[in-house]
Amino acid sequence: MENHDVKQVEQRVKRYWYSDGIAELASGGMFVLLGLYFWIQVIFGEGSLISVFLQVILVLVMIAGFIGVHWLVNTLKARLTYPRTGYVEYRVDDREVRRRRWIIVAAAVIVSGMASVFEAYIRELDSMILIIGLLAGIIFIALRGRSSGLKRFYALGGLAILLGIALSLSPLSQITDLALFFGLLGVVIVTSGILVLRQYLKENPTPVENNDG
Amino acid sequence: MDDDLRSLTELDRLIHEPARLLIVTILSTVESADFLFLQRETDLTKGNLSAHLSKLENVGYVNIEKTFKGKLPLTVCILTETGRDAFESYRQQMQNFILKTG
Repeated sequence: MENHDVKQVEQRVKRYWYSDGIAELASGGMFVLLGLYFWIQVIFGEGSLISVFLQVILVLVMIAGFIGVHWLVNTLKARLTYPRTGYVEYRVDDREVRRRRWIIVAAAVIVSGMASVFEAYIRELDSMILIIGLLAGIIFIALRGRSSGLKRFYALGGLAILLGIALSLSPLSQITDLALFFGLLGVVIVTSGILVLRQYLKENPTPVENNDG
Repeated sequence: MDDDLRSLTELDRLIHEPARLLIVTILSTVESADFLFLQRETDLTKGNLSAHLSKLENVGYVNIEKTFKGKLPLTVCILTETGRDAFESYRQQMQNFILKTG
């Protein structure tokens, strides 16, 4: 078996993680929550007591969000996916983890540099939302899309980049840009997850016999 | 007979069999996978998959464990270190053969 065949099998196995849309539902939900978090600050004003409180607990909200997402993904997969199409535990490849970290760091440096150059020429540019948009796009395309070979991640990455560029040029305040970016992108990711899950459940009905071999 | 061709006779026949090669390739990319996943990915019948897994287990290439994920009973298959080494050396042999003859 040649290397490219092994790569194909590897990619197919990686793709399996996304075959039910549950990971997208969870990560999209997290984006929507972040959007709501910023939207509350837009409604109550950045200096209000509730906004200051929200800013203080942001780290706690993020940690609780990650734990919640992890629990939700595992619970839904155990209930919906494993009985239908089987269980897989993925290998933690240190080399791959290091490579991914380098991609994110390199992308962050390049994107930040580009944003500060653009900011010097375009006065109205909101560089923070541009950086977030480009980074989210690169993560979707370079990490999720490339490793799984799924086209919908390229589309989501493209959308994140376009949204980041559009909002960075908008006259809205930065906090509104952040609320819109995470809210809109989150809704699209959740919708994508729902469609994929619906298709998955249609193609893989509840098993009637015991799966245990 | 050419040396390159002769090297084919030294291939690990246990891994060389197409169905087992697919099983081992899948297991080499993951930490573990259950029977149902392997059955779907390989398109083998339960009996066939069981037979191939037993052969791989008998030579120490695969560990088979009965476990639970929540309330779900699973038959989990894991490629052992011996199995990984055997697969890696099989791949090397095949690559060398293809390089020299292709």
